[in-house]
Amino acid sequence: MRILLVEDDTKIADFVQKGLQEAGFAVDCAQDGETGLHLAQTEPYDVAVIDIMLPLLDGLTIIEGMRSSGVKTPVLILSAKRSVDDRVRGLRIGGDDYLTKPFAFSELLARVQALIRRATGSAGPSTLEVADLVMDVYRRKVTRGGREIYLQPLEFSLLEYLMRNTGQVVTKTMIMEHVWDYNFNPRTNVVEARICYLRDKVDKDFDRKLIHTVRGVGYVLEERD
Amino acid sequence: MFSKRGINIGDTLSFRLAVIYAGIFALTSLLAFSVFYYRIHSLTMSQVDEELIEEVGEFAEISEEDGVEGVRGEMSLEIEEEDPKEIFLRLYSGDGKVLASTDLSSWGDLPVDREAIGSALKRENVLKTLKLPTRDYHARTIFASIGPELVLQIGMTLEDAEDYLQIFRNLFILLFLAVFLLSVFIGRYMGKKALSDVEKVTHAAREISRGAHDMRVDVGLKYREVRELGETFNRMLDEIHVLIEGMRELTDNVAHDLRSPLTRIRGSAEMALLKETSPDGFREMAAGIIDECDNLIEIINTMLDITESEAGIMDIARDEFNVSDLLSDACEIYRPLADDKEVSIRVEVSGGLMFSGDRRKLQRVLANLLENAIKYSHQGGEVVLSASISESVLHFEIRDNGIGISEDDRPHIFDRFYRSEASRCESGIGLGLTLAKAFAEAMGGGISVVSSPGAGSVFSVVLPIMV
Repeated sequence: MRILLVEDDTKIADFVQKGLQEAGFAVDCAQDGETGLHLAQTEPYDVAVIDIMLPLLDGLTIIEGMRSSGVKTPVLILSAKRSVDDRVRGLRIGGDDYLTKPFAFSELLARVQALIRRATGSAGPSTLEVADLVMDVYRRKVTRGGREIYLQPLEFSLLEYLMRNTGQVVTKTMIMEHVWDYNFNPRTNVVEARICYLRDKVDKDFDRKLIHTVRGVGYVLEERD
Repeated sequence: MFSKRGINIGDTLSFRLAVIYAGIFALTSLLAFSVFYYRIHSLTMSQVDEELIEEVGEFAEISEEDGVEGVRGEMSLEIEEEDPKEIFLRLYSGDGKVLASTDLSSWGDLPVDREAIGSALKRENVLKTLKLPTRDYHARTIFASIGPELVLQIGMTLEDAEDYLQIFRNLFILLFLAVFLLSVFIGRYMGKKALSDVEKVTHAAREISRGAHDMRVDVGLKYREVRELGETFNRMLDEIHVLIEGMRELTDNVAHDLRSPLTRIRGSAEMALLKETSPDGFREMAAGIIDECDNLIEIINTMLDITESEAGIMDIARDEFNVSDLLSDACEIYRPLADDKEVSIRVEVSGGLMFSGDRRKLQRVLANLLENAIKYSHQGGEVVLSASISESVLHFEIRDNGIGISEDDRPHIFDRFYRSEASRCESGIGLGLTLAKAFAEAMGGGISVVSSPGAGSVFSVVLPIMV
């Protein structure tokens, strides 16, 4: 998978590039709009991550240029502006998703992967399995080691999200906004509390813990040795 | 800029007013004088003409009765009565020969006007004004037929009439000058007077722009227009004052609330570098920094949200949603927090209320109020969320039986960054209620609180139902 990153702030470009590379992507970086547009039009990319405020050509112009020359690469817009107007404009022009600075890298990664999933049309499996934890998404049934676990709806969707992103860190904001569709105070500890309840049901009676806290960032569900 | 203002008075309003005023005044008086003078002039002239016509009439009668000799006698009689410098008479035959004449020595060369004699013979009186090279004054003359083949010319000096008109002209010029000067002065004075109030406003504005922010325009101004200007000006100043105060307060708060986390971030990074730190220690530090950063981002975002809603530039979405779903979702999300404190949450909604409004902002408002209600509840307390519709208003209530809000705190709880003594023990940035209020108001509604310390609080949110 190949990603184009157009970002003029070298520090941001650096950590995004490193993070994406660690997640297994090949990343090309452009530091100005013209280079970015040129690359987008000449190289095949799976996703483009484009900042709005850029030298030479701004991000929206790049997207317009890409779309008018028939490049269909999904675009994730990065912006320091957070007004709904900018978001709407970015998406109308042909962006596929929008992320406001500052962002958690985990969230950027999740969005990039979602764009790739959307482009390749894979809806994801209906049965999720991590170690001995099994979720039947359609029958809404969860078992661990063959024993059924009863979850409340919010807990179920939280666990589904964690399992779909196995091995990847998900942030509190991602959980609140994408899993529960709730506009909330980021500082509230409702997510912690909910994770705590989920752990009680999923991990408590088992030696091998699956849900881990990444301090300061969020949570990850994975099998650790 | 200064030289411009100091030297050039041509572009001042009072100067322009004076000039325009004087100009109009002068023009109208000139017009009035001209009409008046013209009337007097023609009246005087027609009087002279009448006199001449009357005279020739008399001669015509004499000519008819006594013939040419009679006329001659009358002519010498006439001239004896009058000064020969003032009047002359000449009698012509039909072919233009002078039959008789009075003393013409003082009249200079008076050629025989055959054309006029010809016209007179056709029974047309010819009246003419003569410019005499030897005289200062004009003369008026008539040619008239007074008998068969007999034409009489009578000439009269216009000395009296012209002297008389001259007096008028002089008087008019004097009067006009006086009136013009007067109008210039009056115009200037009135302009100054009318604008002196404006000067006062300008003066006040200048002082204020130099930093005297507390100064106001004296509203005891004479003219209503300027008084209203002054009052509007003062209202604007008050408004600006409030904004400046708000801004000052805000920057103070921001300075404090943003500085503290930044200090902690800087401090922990510095300590990690100074001390011998294990990888775990660095990890701990990084996690702490992310926490602080998230905190900062939240403060900034919340402040922007508040500012945007208060400034009225925030977009308000129109979503159709079920109010009881909204409330039960909020309850579900916050239930773990409530469970931890053994606080029970209950939703009371009569039926499935549908509402059209900004769902996410409303979520935020409710989340803030619900979180506060749980936070300030006692162990085992109860929080009730209810919603009802009455008179095109959607009414929410978040009721708790917690610690309540003291009377001293109540007027301030919606202020930015206000933290009561009780709330300092709890986490938070002191913007939750401010945001709730700003959002409720941005949606056209409002928020209010009833509370008694020790017994709990009831927060009410009302939102108009948009049609």
